[in-house]
Amino acid sequence: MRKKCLLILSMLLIFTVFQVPAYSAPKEKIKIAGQFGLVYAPLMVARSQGLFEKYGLEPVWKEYGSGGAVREALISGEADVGFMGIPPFLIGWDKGCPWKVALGFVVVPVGLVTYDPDLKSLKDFKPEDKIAVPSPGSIQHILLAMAAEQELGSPNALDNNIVAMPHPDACAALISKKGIKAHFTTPPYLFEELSEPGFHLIVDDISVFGHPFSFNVGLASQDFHDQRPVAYSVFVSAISEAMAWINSNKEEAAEFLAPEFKLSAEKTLRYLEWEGMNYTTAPYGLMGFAQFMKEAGYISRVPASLEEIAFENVLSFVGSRAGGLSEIEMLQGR
Amino acid sequence: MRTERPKTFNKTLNQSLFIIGVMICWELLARTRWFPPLLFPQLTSVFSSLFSEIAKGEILGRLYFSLYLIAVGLGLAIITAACAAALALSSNLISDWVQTVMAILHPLPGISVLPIIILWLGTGPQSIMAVIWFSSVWPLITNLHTGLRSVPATQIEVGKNYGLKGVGLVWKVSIPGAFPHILTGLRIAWARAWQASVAAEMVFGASGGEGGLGWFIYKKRFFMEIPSVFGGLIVIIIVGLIVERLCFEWIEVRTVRRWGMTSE
Amino acid sequence: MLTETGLIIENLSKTFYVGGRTIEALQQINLEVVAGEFVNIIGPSGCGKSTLLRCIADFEKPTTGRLFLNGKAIKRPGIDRTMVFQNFDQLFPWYTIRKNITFALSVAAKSNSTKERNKKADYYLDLVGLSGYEDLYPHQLSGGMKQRVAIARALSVNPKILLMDEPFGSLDAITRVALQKELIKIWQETKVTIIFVTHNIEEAIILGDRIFVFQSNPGRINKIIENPLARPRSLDSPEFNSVWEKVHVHLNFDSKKRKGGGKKQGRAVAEKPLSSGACFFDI
Repeated sequence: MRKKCLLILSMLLIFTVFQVPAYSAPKEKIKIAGQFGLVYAPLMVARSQGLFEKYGLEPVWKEYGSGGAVREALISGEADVGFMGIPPFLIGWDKGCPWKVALGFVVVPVGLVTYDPDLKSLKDFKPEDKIAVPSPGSIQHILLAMAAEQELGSPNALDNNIVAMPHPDACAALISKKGIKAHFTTPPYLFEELSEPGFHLIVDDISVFGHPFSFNVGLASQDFHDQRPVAYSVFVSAISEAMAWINSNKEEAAEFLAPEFKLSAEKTLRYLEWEGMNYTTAPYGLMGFAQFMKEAGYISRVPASLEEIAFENVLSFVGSRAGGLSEIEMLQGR
Repeated sequence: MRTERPKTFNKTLNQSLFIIGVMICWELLARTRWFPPLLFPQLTSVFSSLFSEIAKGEILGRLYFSLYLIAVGLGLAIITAACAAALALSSNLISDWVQTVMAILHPLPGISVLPIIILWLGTGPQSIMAVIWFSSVWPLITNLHTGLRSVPATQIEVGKNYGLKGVGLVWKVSIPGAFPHILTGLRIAWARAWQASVAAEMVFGASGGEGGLGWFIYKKRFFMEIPSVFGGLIVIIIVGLIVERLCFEWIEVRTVRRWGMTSE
Repeated sequence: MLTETGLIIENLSKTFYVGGRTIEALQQINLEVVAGEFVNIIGPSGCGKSTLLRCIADFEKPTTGRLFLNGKAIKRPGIDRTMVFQNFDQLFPWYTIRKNITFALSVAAKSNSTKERNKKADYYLDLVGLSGYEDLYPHQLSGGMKQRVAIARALSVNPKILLMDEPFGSLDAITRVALQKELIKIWQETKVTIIFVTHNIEEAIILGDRIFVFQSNPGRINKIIENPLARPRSLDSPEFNSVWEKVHVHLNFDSKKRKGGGKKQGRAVAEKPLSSGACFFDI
């Protein structure tokens, strides 16, 4: 019996070893770490349209629950490139993770939603009023801290109010009015919540940050960038192509994305066309977050220049205007 | 009695040497930098961050809060278990029910009911307490139940013979007779309560104002303060050791071991 | 009623329902035990001898019939009837030897001071020859010593009747003989009434004034045998043999004779095979 098993096993092994090369030549792989949500629509498009494959690259798609988890995947080598908010990226950079920004990744509305008509500003929050954010150190948490500094004088004023909850759970909890009073969130959860009667925004992205900012950035390690320049360029190109396609084919994109989010096509289209949605690779607000996070003590240093945190394609995109900052350079600050 | 002290001493020495050995291996392995230092920090940085967290006071506050949650959750579990066991003792019908409920719910990890508890109780300390309660109540009931049933009928009859009945009989004969099982139940319940409190805070439901060590570790993870994550783990280990060695073993030596009620 | 001071059992029957079957453990038991008497109950296993003892202790309720002690009906367990069991686990392992006795005293008579109770415990431990063991725990004692403690505890509350349910049944033969001697000595000193259940003929003859021979299916008294032997009793005397024959006959053996002069034989197979010593009957 055991001998038979061994025989079958060894035959299987021989077959697998010798058959794979017989069918297809091994393709260069690129492991991509994303998250869930409307923000990551370009990844879904790139996947379904084979935008990496057309350059001869085989993408391996991985999904994680938070920027922190994407960061851990990048450090441990589970992923070559990944997407996360600027704050988790800066926390990693501060601790010595050798990555830089390869592209900006989508500008979307972000906001603090509540159902409680008595909560009109952050000043109305009592210690027992819980605010859900996806995780400590997430972009939502940092935006809340920014808003707290503006309105309440201290970035830590609401630290004891925050509850860490994944978006879907927090959205369900807020809509059922259970446990949490407010949710700092992003599309589609932001739109879902705001569609409920009586739900309103207390704080929004523009009022906090001053201007739009990249909700996510695409990251690659210095090693990946230096040693696999072709894969790096493919990464930038494929994501850019996916974004451009969404922008110019909103209806088709909505049809395609609707089942992924379990929404109707009409609703998805409405969300894609919501004011403020912008699928763009342009970086916004990189330095503004760094400045604030340093001042509030979340990171220990600020990049001296964009060169420390971005690759050449981003640097050339932003440019360096002689005789004073250009508009896009100014948009990196706050 | 005389041989006991050197035995415990040897055990302690042996364990200490082993732990020191593991720590040295860790430090050497970390220094080779085969693994990213961000994920596998040196012990020296773990301890220095642990000391700075202690100095800042946060970690001890978190520990205090965790212990408070466990005290409430475990306390309620003990009361529940006592009531359930008392009911089960009073009637065979209820005893069957209790056994059925135990058979169904005992294998469920406490953390698995967290989503339902959040729905019912919302987020916050009450949910964590409920998870702790749920995790620890079954081993308590099981052991109490078995313990009470394992008291020899002869001892119960002796108690009755000398005029004990009702509560007095339970208190003076059944409880001490069941004590080895009760102690085992408490040990398991304590371990599960610890696990549940830390795990529940890591999944979700903890918040900045009302979070224990689980929240501390969770937060440090997101701010990539990995040495502090390990620092939190070390605190958990130390508390576990202290409770086991100074509390449970202390009780065990003075009760079941002195009474010859252990199988050892 | 023959006597005011003593145990009277009238028409006692006890039926158990086990697995849908009715088992008549005791049928129509009538007996009297006079105060200060030492009686033995002997019979095959399943003859209800232990059940009778448990009915007297009120650990079991009789199905029919009544029991009186000193003219008063027995309604609940009490310290006027203390039981010594066969099991070694009858002592509380969580108490020291002394505490096992003072525990009984404190439950039975709360008015006593701790000092008095300790004194009394030490007196009874001395009586059973266990002075110096007061502070040990039961698990540190041998089986024989445990039974001595149980006897001391049972005596310490001044019972009217000592109920002994094969207390020496699990002991080795040498310890058993020693304890039998001591029990007689204690009985003579304390004048306590003793009802002693055994399945060992020699033990019954050595100990009791009267021997109740039981039969099984249903459990009932077959014969009450007076034991005229003067104390101290010897296994070798011809009188011993004649009592032995009488008991043996009423245990319904098939014509097996006791060989020899009552020397330690170990001829027959006992309920529990013991290493050597006294002789047991077949069931």
